[in-house]
Amino acid sequence: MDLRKLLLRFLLMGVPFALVFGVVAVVDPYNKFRVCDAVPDTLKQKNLYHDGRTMAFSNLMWELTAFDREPCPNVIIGDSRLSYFPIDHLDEVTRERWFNFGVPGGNYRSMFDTFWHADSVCALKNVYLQVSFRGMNAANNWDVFHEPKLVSAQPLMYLTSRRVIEATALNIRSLLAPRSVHYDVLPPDQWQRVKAMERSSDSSFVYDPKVVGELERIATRCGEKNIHLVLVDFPTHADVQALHNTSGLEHLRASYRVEMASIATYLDLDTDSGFARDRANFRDPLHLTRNAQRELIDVVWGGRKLE
Amino acid sequence: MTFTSLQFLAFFPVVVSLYFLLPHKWRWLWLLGASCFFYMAFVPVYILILAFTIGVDYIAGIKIEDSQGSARRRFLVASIIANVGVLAFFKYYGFLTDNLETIVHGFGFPDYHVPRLGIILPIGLSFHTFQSLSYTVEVYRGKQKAERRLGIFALYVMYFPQLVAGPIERAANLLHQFDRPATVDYGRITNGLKLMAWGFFKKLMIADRVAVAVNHVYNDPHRFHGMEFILATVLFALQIYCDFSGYTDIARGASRVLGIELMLNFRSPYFSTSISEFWRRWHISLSSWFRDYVYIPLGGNKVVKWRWYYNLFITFFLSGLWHGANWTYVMWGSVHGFYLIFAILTAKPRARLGHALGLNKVPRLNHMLQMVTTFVLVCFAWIFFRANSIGDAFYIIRNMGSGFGRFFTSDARSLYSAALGIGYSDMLLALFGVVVMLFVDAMHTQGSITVRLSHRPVWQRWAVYYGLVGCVVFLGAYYSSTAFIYFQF
Repeated sequence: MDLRKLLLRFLLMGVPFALVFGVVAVVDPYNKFRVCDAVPDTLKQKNLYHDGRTMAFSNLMWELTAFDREPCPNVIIGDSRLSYFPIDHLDEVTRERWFNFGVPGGNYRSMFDTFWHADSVCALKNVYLQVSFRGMNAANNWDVFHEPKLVSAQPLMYLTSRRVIEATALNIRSLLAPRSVHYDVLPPDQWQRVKAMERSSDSSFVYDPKVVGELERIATRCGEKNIHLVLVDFPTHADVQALHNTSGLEHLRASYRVEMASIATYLDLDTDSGFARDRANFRDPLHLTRNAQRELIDVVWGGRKLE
Repeated sequence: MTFTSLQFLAFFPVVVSLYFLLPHKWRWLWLLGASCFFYMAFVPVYILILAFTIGVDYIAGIKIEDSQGSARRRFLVASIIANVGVLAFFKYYGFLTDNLETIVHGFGFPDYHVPRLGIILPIGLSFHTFQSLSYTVEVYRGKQKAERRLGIFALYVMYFPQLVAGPIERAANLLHQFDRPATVDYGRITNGLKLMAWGFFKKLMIADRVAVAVNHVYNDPHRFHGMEFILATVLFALQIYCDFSGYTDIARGASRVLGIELMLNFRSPYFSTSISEFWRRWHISLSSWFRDYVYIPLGGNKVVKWRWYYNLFITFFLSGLWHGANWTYVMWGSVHGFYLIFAILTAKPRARLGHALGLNKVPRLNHMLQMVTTFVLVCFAWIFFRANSIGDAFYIIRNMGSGFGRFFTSDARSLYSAALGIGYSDMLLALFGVVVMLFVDAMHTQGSITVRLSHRPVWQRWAVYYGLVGCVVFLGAYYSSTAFIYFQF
């Protein structure tokens, strides 16, 4: 009698959880299972950028599942400045398939973790790492990689992760009632905000010596495996460059550039140029527009000169 | 295999199902086999250490009981030497040699090196060694009959729910329970499962979540300042409590499902109003072990005053050393020993001060003040426990008062996130978990919450159960899930 009662209660306890798991598996916001196409991929991809709070997790989840499913020997790894990156244009220019590991909210730590993950999944050929002096600030380098890596690798974790469940709910809502979903948009004073953020970052800057060590480790690995490694410093707007030039960190910045150049091929595009002065190239002082990103692809991979 | 692993999720139902399917006379064997499997999931070869301890204490117990006069003492001493020897070799060899080298280098012999053995500390060594040792002492004292069935004695030492992190059971409580046939009792089993769910809640919802912030600050303290240190220390106080009491609840719950009651190990310790009360509520099985086998044999408080202080200090010094082969633990134990001695020495002046301030007229405020003071003192001692080195601990203490200004700006929210290395939503979830945990602990001080809950309408009870399991399944910090802190001891 007790046993029957016990089994019945277990069943009763399990039903709602099984329902949630079922819905997550069907909606599958990051294409882990791909059991059905209830939600189109375009909508899922749009939802990756729904909310600044979850962007890092969502984008990494999407990228890790996609990469693990279909590994690619050519990767670019970076932070939010690689968001919306026109990878198809890069494929055209180089006539090879590339994979974009651009993560909003990403940092050096997430880039390193991503590199090692990509390296463990397939034999890499070309690796372009987006580097920046601002990322050398130790306060920025917290872990955003570990959670999506675990969740994307383990089906049970995928089904129970609150972030995946949140994304499932968002996908259902945006499918059934698209008008009720509001996406984060850049505030009108974004330009000033980013400048203030940069100023604040410079004022509390603590140089993280571990970054260089880890870059060297990656460079050694690339040397051993014959992987072409390039470190790219993307352009920032002249406003930010001016801030940096008066922050009192110029000496540190100069030695950073020397260090980068000593580790691997280093493309420093964060210099004074017509491109950097043209506000039309930037969504905000750090982030390029899609057109500017295309232009940059022509410069970095197409051999065109930056004007 | 840890309680929070996927393997345990499969292991436990299989063990329980077969346990109840088997006739009672074979159940001990099944539990022993399951316990061996559980332990061997860590480092298989280390089961030999357990076998050694079991063999020595099994024979010692019988020999002590069968002998007369000084021979009994000889067998007890042999058991103590064997147990302490195993502990010393596996746990303290590196520590002792490191310190020996430092001393010899200090005398001008920089080339002196003791060979390293590269030993990995067997999980839960201090727990099962102490449990086994308590058995032979109790047999020697005539309070416990020697167990003549080797399998049952082995199960007493190896019983999987409490094998790796306690509670450190006494033979008088545990051994006889293996002979008691357990039935499929709905009330007992669901009660055990609820206790397990509560343990998982504390571990996964709180401990593993705040661990990220604690590790972020404590693993690289030179990057941080006062506010981060204070927050990380308070969070560590919560982490270690939720981690260890969470483990204990899972252990006790799992054992209850099997029909075996393990002792209580925590009684809402952060509601203590003095350090001595804290030790009556924190890790009770260890505190009572040290009380019964160290403090009282040394003379306890029935000696001259200075000797009493010495007894207190040495007990806590050893308790610190028991935790780990590092001066940080020794310091932590010593600080607690100092607190207790200081409390005795200042009892009268403190009472007079309280009287002069009129605190005796506002007992609630007085109680609250004592509770807060105790918590602050406990937190201070935790700094030594958590710091990676004594140097780090003193660095943190020295810099606790610096760098507060920036946390009171409009950008504070993102600053807290950056400083602690966890996202805002995780901070809120941890806070929610802590509030629930403190509420439940406060309720526990006024009686069993399970009994109270059983008097509520069915929909309320089920809402609580769904909520609890839902939090564990969907809101657990599995991404940072770490081994239980006390496994290393």
